[in-house]
Amino acid sequence: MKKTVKVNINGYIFHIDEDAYDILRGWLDALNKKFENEQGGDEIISDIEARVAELFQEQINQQKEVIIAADVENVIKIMGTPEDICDDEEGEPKNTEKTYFNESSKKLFRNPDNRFLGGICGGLGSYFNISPIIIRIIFIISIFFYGAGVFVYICVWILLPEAKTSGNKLEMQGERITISNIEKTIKQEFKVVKSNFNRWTQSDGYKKFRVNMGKFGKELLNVLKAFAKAIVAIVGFSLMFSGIISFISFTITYFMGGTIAELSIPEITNTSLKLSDFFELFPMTFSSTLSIIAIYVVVAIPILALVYAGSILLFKYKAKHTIITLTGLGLWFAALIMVLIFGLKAALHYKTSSSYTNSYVVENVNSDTLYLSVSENFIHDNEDFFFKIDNLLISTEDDKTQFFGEPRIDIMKSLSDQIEIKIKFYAHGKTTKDAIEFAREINYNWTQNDSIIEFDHFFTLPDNTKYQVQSVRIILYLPEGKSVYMLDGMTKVIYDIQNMQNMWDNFMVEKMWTMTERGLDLSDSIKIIPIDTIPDMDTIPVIEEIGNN
Amino acid sequence: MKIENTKAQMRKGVLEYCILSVLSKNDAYASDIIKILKESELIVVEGTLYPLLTRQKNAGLLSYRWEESKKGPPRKYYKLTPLGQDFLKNLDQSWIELTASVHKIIKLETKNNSKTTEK
Repeated sequence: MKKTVKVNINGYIFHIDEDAYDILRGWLDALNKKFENEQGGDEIISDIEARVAELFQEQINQQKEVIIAADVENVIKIMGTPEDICDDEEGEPKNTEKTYFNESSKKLFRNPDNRFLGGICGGLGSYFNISPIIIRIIFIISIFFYGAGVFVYICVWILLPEAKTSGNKLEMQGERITISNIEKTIKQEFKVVKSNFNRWTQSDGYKKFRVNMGKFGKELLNVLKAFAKAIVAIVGFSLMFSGIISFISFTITYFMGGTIAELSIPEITNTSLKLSDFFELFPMTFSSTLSIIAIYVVVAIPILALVYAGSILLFKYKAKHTIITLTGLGLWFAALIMVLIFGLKAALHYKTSSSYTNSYVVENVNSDTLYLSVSENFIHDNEDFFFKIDNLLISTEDDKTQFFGEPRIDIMKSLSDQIEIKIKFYAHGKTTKDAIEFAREINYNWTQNDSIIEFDHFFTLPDNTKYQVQSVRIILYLPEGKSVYMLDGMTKVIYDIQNMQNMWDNFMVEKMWTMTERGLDLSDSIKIIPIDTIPDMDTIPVIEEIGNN
Repeated sequence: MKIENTKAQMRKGVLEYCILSVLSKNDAYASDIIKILKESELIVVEGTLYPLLTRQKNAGLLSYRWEESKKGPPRKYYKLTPLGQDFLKNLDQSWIELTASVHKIIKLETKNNSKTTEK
């Protein structure tokens, strides 16, 4: 099967094979070039075309309706090559055996035989008689200059015809480049451009341009398609890759504990801990196997969906996608509902908050000043081994869950003239009774030695307790006229102590504060010997009274 | 130098003269002229004729008129102008002279040749 072109030659309509058309076109173009600078050149061409039409007319009949390449070649043989027809006055020696396109100088085509994209580099290569690879490298380098190369490439792609026929290809190879040839080419090209433009706008050159545009569009579409394919593949690959990595690291971390991925759940700094262990810290419903699996499924299915989507994009395999998707969605929803139920159930364990209070009266203080310090009752070297929820530290070393919490200490004015310490234990529970029960489990110690009070840094909970939002609040009630001095370590536990100077907690330590009618006041009349000159913690800091006394 | 080229050069020179001669007898259109010239083997390829016709027309030696044909579009019929007739007469004269000269040279050469072979 061959495509034919309908042409009008001198008023006759001919159906002509595409390859035959190309030969004829090339021949006429060459003739045009020969006669374009001669007076009456157009007339000569139209006369010749009229004759060609006559000759074609003789060659077609009812059995043969289409002009084929052989017919065109025959006509050219009868009419002669452009060189035969145009007898140059200079009488250059002519090689009559040469075909017309060898004589005309080299032409630039897109090379379909050496193409990567549009065959432009290939065409340029044969035009300049160098390897297309060099052109391609230059082109690729030019891309880095603000993509100039791409723009030029696209323009050239639109404008350059493809070397389709063997004639075109020979023309593309052309003669060797010599100085005179180059000069000739430039002169000719200039004229050709001029006349071509005129011809283009009216003749089928314009149509050709449009056809070329169409072809370019088609090719561009193909390129875009290829790009889209590549992007889809890249996206698919990255989805699959990241999905698989996430899935593996999540699974390992969840069940075995690991260091592959550091999950960014807030306040969890421990990466060597099994995530499933984390749930053990919560009331029973959450720690059941079922809930652990449910939570796992809720997280894992979206990750697997990523992998699945990625694999489809990458490999485009056929499978029962709908069934798989629906199953996945169903599973995910089931797990999600389960997690919600467990969550609600767990939340019930935190429904009520309650507290109980221990009150102490501090006696046998033989001084007007009370010295407050913190004793380190738990020393941990590696903070990485802890969860931190709120101000609770949770250690899970040796399969043993231990809670440590920092109390918050406040100083208030005593309503009586006694020094009092109130310790409030807070916890959440299903019922008030439960909550109080949990609060009672909190273990906190402090000691008094004369005027020195030592608070433990942490309160503790019995082993394997669940998290019940336990906390401890300590209030020191100081009567008016009494003073208090906090040692450096107290910064860890004091919390928002009201004072007349509105001083921040951190700055309140190592200063002498006196309880006045309106609250704690900085005793500026008392000079304090800096703490680093105190040789021992057990030694009471030496206070020197100055000023008013 | 190929023999074909030389022949073509020789033919080219006389072709213009021959076209005018053909047209002096009858008005004709391009294909008629081609037929006659082809029969006398003066042209090898038809295309050669058209530039010559156009040039002669532009030089005022020929004129043409359009004539309807039975099949296809109208044809260009060429005719000698008075200028062309003068031109042709002139050429007739120079052709006679030229052939005489050429003959003379050829005869001279054959004589010379025979002389050299005799020696």
